[in-house]
Amino acid sequence: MIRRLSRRFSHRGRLGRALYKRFGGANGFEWAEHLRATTDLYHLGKDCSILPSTKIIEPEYTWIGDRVCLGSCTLICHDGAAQTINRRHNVSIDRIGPIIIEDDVFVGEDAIILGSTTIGEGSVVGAGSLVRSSVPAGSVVAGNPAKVVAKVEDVVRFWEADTLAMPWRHLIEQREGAFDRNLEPELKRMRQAHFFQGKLKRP
Amino acid sequence: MDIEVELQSVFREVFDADDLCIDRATTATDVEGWDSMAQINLIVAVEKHFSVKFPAAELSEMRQGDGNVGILLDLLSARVEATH
Repeated sequence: MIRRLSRRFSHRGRLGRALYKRFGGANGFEWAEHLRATTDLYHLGKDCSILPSTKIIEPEYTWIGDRVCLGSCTLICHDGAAQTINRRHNVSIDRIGPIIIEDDVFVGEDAIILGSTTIGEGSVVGAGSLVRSSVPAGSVVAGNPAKVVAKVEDVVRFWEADTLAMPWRHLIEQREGAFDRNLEPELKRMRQAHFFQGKLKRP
Repeated sequence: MDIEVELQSVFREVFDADDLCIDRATTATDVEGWDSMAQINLIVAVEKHFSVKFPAAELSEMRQGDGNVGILLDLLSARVEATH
């Protein structure tokens, strides 16, 4: 009931959005569509997933391509220090730059992306990364400051090999999409048995 | 040149450690910075250096062995022999 109401009033100003965010139970795809309808995002491509906990501080200077997936990350286009420096030094500095996230980029939890950066097509930004400069297409970046740690094409090859070796790979092959309610119990049982061999489970 | 000596030079380059010494018993826990991403970069560098390509089953075998250099050496020697 609350979920339905919050969804109904989601487009009604800040309160509506806050209620939807808190009670609406929106998944990443639904929240991306909500942002498309209610914010000033300069561009939002198709089939994007953006978690409700993602912070896009200046949507008007943020460009997001197709099939982008944003975890609970923060995108900040401006440099907050400029205002303080302006006051102290009696100057008028403007420190703001665009964030461009090209197609098929994934950004992990708690990553921070600063302005004047482009995240190249098909890249992966690791959890907790601080991105201060542009990321070449097809790169995996991690750390603070974020650095290229691998090429996505290499990672794909290795992760495929890893998956082939998993005892539950036949279930992954059957699965449609990233989650299958019917397969999940058996997947969970097999994974736990593999991960915690010999370790006691709470009674 | 001996494969193990050449492999050591690849390790030194990837991990940026001129004095790094490896042997068959060396594993990921013995080398600073050898995490899952470094493992990928290492194998890619090994493939490039020796002009070989490991199939998925062999990559998986290396991963399961916790980066054991002995496993890598055996697979590499077999692959070099088959390729050249």
